[in-house]
Amino acid sequence: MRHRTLPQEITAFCHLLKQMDVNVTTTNQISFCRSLEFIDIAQRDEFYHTARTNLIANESDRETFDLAFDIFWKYPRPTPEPLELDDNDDTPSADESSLQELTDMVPDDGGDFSVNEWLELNSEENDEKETGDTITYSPDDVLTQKDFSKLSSEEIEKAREVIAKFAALLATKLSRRKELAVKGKTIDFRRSWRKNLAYGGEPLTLVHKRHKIKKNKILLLCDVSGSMDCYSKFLIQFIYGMQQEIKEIEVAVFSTRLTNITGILRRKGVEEALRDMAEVVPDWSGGTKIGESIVGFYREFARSFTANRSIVILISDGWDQGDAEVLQRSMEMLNRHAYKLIWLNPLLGSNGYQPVCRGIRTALPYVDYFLPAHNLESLVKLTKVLIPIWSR
Amino acid sequence: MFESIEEVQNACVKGEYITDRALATTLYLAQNLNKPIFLEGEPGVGKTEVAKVLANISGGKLIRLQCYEGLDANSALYEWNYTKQILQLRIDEAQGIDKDQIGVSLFSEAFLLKRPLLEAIQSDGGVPPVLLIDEVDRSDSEFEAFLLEILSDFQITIPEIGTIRAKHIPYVVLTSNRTREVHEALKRRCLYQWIDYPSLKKELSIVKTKLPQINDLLARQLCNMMQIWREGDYYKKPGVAETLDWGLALIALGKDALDPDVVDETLGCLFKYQDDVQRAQGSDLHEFIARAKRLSDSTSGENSEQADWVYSQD
Repeated sequence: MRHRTLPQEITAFCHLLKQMDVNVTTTNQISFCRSLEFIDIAQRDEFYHTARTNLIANESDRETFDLAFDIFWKYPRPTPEPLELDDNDDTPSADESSLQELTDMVPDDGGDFSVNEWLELNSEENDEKETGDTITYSPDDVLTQKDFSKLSSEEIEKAREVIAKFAALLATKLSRRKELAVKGKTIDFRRSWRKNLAYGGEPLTLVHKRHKIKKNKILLLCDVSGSMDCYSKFLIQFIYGMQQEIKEIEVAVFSTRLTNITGILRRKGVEEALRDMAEVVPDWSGGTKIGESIVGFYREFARSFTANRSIVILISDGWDQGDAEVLQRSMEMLNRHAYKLIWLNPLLGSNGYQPVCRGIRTALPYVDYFLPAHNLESLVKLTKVLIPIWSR
Repeated sequence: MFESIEEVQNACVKGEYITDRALATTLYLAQNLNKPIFLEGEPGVGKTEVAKVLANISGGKLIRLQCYEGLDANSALYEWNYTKQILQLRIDEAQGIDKDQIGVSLFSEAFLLKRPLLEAIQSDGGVPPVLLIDEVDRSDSEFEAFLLEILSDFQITIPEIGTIRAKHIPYVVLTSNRTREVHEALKRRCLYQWIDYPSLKKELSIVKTKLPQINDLLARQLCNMMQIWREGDYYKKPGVAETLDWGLALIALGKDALDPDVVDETLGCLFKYQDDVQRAQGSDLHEFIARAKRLSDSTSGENSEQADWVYSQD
């Protein structure tokens, strides 16, 4: 039997911690190994404290760490198996491989591949893992599944928090104009000179300024066609959350036709609004005509477009059954009139997805940001990605 | 400076600070690995004190940077004293110095206002200084990123002067009250240590060290009472700082044992929120005090408390 060296043991221990969801970096591991030089490793408690102070960076990880430590160092496994752990890391998880299969089956042109076929595929492979929702076509059914009241209050609270962050990010932008500000970073020379005339022109005090903050207007356009059904739970949370957070927002949903739901959302509570939506939206879970819907959208909201501060958020998976030329023209138009055009695509969340289907290929050149959004976690990530881009 | 963990522990006791084994190990390793220490814990458990004691026992200078929202690189690192620079210009002009020579010396160290980080790096004593970056959770994330850079290189570049490298890498102690989660990257650069409320035994030795004039019975009752308080559900549980305040108050009042009246009168030492004070008043003080007294009688003389982590060898 071959014995493992101490660094090998430590590596195996760190692997165990990682598997138990404690985030251990290689740097920490190296630091731990270096620490051993200075302590008496025959002393178990010295060894334990050294490991703890080096490897964990959160009190909340402490319990897991203690457990792992007891398991690993009290009962050292007799056979050396560090490689087995590595192997596990390399084989793709079941989730990934099925998603890979899924994306493999999506044809390149996307033209003669019907949405329904894809949906069936999607429902077999994906529904349980992704959202736990089954795919249904009747609006009533859909709505009971998407009922906000089914979520626990904690979930709603969490969702609200995440969406609020995202909304707050989009709601404002820095204007090019500047205003006086004590904490401003640039110096307002003109005012500084004026003020310092009193000291005989010596610039003793400086006046600062910073960029003004401007409010954006959000136009939210959401695809509710059949292929989007498994994301509907998230979408409804999203729409409702955005509407709560941003004052100037217009919301419309579409599948083959466009329906403006801003008024409904504004007037009613969530449950009522959802019930009304089911009545007003005739084609919930129907087919998709993105281009035609955008034209309708533009016609409806043309007056809401304010130069330089309208952000259009389009949520769709890009499976389009409509006229490609109409789609192209409508995207071009949106691009011209919106300050930023953001396309949130739920499919982008799955690994290995390529934007190959016709709808997306047509629209992509006109989109400013093409980003994934399929559940709350993705939205958290999205917010993080957007912060540096946005604050430029 | 320290040869073993025991030595750290003993030195701390001399510096009137009671550590447990875990913290002593972290302090010892920080010195050997030249890594910063990141201390987290509830307010009033003695995080800041660690840095003070460290400075005290190492003989290094304590340099403190108190973080607050909006703290920026300028107020943490250095600033040019430009009022002084302008005055210098005026003096130069008035003295009729040659035009080429005017302003030559303006960007030298004489016109530099050193802020804590620069001071820590430039410090030139025989012993490395102790840099205390207090309540880092109050600063914003930009400052955190900036700290990351400083703490990994220990050098600062001032364009007009050049790069200043640390002669001795300072001991760095960061503390956080967890009002927000500090970024993982910063924590990962440090040796992490969570400081909890002390165990009964530890608290008793703290009280006896810090308040040598206290009598043994009162000290035991006091500490048992604190343990009972901390079981309760308060907005802000009393920490060690509060224990010591309370002890001082009781001594000042000439008490040698707890009684309900005096506890009620001195609740202000323990709880700093009106809601907490009311909750404490609403609870059964008689019962609490009786319990504390019973406990302190049963623990007198022997040390029945368990160590923080029991050492077991197979």
